[in-house]
Amino acid sequence: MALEGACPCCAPITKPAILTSLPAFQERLGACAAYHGIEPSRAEGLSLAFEEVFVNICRHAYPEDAGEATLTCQADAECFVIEITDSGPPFDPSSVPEPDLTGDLDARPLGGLGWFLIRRLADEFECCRWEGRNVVRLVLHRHRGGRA
Amino acid sequence: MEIRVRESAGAPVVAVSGKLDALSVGDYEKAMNRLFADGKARFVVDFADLTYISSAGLRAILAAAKELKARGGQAAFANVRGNVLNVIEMTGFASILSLHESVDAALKAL
Repeated sequence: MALEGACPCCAPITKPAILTSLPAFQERLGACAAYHGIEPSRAEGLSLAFEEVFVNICRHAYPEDAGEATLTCQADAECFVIEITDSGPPFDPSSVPEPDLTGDLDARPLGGLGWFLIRRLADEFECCRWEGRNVVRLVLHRHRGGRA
Repeated sequence: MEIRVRESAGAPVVAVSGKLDALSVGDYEKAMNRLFADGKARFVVDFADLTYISSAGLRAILAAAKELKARGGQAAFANVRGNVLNVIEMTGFASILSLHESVDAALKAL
């Protein structure tokens, strides 16, 4: 499921799966989105979704050893796509329950909003396992409201 | 991210600028804890120059709000807009936080 035809400015970037890598990843994502003419507000939303995926990798993908994450960006006339991969154990985000957003202050638990934000901020969200790696694919449609 | 605290109308006003994300959230938590240690339980948080908030930031805001409630106090948030407001509304936080259009309005609400 490797992306094909990535643009010259969007070579994959691999960094240690630690929080201090976050700015470098987001800078690359922002530069790629700007290059491909993505509206800044939408690009910022996707960058937030990236943080949520990446922080999850930092926290859970490599409990025993240090590991890495890779970001790849691609764009065409219809979409801007990012893929975030890691080589941690298989992870299924569908196992993460949807949060209850209606509770009052006392009822709201701390945390549990990451995957909710990811699903809301990307037009499409896919997660799979490919050649021993977890792959999270986030898609922005250029023409808003168009879900595949 | 930068945090500046000033006093206004007898209450602290905490101006948070930049990004409140998984990297910077520790500094926000420290600022909250300093206020609690100083016995402050009513203050304004000014998001006029905050450009980004992730679930890490929301978690810290919620934790501080719960602590404030336990202390019989509250925080009022001012100038929440743009993508920050989008995230706060999207996650239902708009109904559990006290949001105001200006620092003055937030101070009056305390």
